[in-house]
Amino acid sequence: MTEDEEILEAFLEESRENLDQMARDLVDLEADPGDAALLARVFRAVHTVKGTCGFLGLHHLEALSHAGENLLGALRDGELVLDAATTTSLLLLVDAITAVLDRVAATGTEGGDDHAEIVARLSLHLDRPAPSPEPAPAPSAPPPPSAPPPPASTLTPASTMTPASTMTPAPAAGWTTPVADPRPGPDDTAPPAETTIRVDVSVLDKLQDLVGELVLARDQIGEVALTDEDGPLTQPYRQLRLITSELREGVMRARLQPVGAVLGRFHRVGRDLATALGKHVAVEITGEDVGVDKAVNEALRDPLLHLVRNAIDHGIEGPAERLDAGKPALARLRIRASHERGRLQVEVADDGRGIDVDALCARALALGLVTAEQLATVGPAERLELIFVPGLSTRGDVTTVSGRGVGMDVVRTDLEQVGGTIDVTTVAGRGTTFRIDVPLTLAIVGALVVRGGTGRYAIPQVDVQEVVHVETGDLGPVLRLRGRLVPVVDLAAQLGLPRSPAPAADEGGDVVVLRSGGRRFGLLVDEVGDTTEAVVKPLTRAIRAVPVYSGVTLLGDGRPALILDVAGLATAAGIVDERDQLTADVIDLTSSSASAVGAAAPAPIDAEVLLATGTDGGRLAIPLEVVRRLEHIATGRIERLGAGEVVQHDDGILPLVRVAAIDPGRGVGIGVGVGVGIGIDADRVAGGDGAWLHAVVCASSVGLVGVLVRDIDDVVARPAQAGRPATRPGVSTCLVLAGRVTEVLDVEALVSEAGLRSPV
Amino acid sequence: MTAPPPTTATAGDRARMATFEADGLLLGVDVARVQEVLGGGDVTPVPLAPPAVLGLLNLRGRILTVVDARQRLGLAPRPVGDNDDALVQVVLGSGGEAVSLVVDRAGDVVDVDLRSREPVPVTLDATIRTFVTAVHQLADALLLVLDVDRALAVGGSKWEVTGAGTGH
Repeated sequence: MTEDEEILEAFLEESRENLDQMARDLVDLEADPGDAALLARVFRAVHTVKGTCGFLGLHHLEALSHAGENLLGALRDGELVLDAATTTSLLLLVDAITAVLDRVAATGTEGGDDHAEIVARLSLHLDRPAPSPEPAPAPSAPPPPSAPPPPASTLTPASTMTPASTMTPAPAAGWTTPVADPRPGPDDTAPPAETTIRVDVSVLDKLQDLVGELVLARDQIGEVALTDEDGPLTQPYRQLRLITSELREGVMRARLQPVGAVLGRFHRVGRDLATALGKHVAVEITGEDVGVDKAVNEALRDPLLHLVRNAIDHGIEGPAERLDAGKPALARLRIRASHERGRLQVEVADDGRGIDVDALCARALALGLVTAEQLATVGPAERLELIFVPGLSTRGDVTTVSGRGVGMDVVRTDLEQVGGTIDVTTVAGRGTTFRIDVPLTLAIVGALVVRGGTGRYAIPQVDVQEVVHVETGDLGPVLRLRGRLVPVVDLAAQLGLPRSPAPAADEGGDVVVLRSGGRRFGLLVDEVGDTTEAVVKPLTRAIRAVPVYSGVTLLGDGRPALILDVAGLATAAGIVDERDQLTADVIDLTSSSASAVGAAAPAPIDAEVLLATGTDGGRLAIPLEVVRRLEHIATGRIERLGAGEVVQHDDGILPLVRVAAIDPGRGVGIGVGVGVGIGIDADRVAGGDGAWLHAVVCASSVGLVGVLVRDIDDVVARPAQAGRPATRPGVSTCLVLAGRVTEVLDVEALVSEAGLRSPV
Repeated sequence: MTAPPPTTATAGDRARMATFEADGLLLGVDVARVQEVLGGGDVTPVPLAPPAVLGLLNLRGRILTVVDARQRLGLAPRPVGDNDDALVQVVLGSGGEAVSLVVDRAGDVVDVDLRSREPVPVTLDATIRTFVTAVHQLADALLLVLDVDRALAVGGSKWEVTGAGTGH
């Protein structure tokens, strides 16, 4: 890059920042036109652009900013009062200058558009002076020694349609036109003190790498130093530890930029949108100083824009409607950023009409995105989450129904990509609040270190929901967790590793419950280690294509550890998205002419079922909505009670039922197929190593009932269409699920077939 | 062998080549590409990685991919029970990152006369021919000049690996 190019580059960057600031200031000024300091700052921004443009030979830009400077000069001098129309014109000027800057950046030239319209528009304001008839004695401030040409004289000729170019003074004039700080007010001239400098990001990256190494070296010293508590190294080591921690923190912070770089725009966006829609909205932004990694800042831009637009477009009512509702006509849109637990929270809250959750549900039902059964099982908060479901938000007239929701699935996905989350609360008639939570930086993530097979892996903490210890007997393909079944993935098996020392039979295992997007699953690991602040390094080229990793980090002992990509892991393990229409591998048995139901076409889903292997070896499916928990019981604990089987559980007695094998030889036919009692296949169970069974504890009209099965296999979605007619009582239908012919149980029928009665 | 001196790699018609052995073959790379030579080290395996990737290595805060030269070049696997500690890793720069190539033994830095360059003999196995740009007949052995970028582009497209088999 030549020196000239560098200067140009610096100019472009600085100007963009100035223009951003200027747009914000203008919106503020509109609210408080008397703020002289703000006005002075806006004036200075335009003046700086103008001056530098002259220097760089960007004459068109210079003319453009000159037109703005004239108008701002008149405003500053009290000849005009800033009103909405003037603000709009000045904001248009900001847009025009930004556009030209973009073109300069892209092509190196200013382009052919001379923006005569804007120049004319700016001039027009000068033609209709402020109410005060005699502007001449510029209020209070004495004319500066080298003032710009008296306003009156410059303004008149500049008016109406003077082509921009003719207004251009000599190129260098920008530097000499002595308007820079003509009337030092108490606080408006001194430019903000030079407390910032520009640093190349690569320098910061290097620093960060070095700090990472320093931390490793420190830890190695620590191992020596801490062997002897009273040794001479203990104290210096503690000191070293403290300093390195602070250094690391400082270097991290040096990479942060104020979130205001993104938030600041919303004054303008909010104003423009509200004006266009005829609404009155006050945009309040707080926490603009909060620092955040540039990459995270970038990632926030689109989602926030979406939220702000939605809030003003759909959430906030028009003035009349607000007054009718007993609210002030002026609506408030609050955007608040803050640090919390090492993460950035951004809240976007409006005081509009709120989201109509019922309408949202109705919409989702009408679109076939959910079933009534699914809706029945979830609370209001979860129903509100429907706005994040893909498909709901992109339909045309959703806004009239839900009041909100355009592209919210995209918002959520965008945030998740940087390890963020979003949630929403709403109060009908009172407003809606979205809360975004993102990491401060992508370069360091909190991570949980786990061992799987022979290796250690780091899992980003943001994806970790909890860690549960599971007894050996309960280890299986699914885990029952507070009423929900969670599929379990064995990390070592997923990575194709041998399990390191076979876990002792009675130790059980640790399952890390992970969530990525709408996918939740448990990861069975051999050991759960510490949490760590992992410095994320990119994957090397050779392993970039492996989908289950997202990066590499160095552990305390200096060894690399792969950072697991939870979304990639879920995909590799075939975990389906709870939010999506499930596309389970299902084929309807009844459509023997398979063309009726395209084999690959996702069937409509009505519910999930638990797949299990029955005591007779057949595949069973139990509707998940009735399943309450899974029990692992030794057959020795099964006791007889009358004709049935029971097991003592907690303080009560749990009746057990099993779906018996149909044995034509014994003449057990349809109608008596459900056997209750130990007789029918007890041999198979009691003998040999089949000494354990699972009881799928289900809710029924007679209370909890345990359905005995040999194995718990999986949880899958079941298609809505009817299957083949039932073969025996207690079975509602037969389907092919996950590749096997499966009997779907009807627990209620099973219970009545077994003759169970409700306890007194 | 110690790290080669940072001299200019080529001067006129001569080139300085760092050499190493894998499965009895003598391989050479431009000495300027060699960043460092390490002993067999502490390599963290990467499950599901391409077969030639032995794992990752932390080299003073930089994370390197460790690639097995024998596997990558289609040579016979190292006999089981070989002393892994005797292995040598040659750290080579390629495409903006460094990769450590595990070889059987490091050799000398040799001066070759570029005019003695010969085409790759067709008798060479097809896989390794993909990675060799030329050969030089040295006094006591045939030196295969390795195409470093191609050899280290593990995990690239299939085309990259097999497409140019008959190229040189």
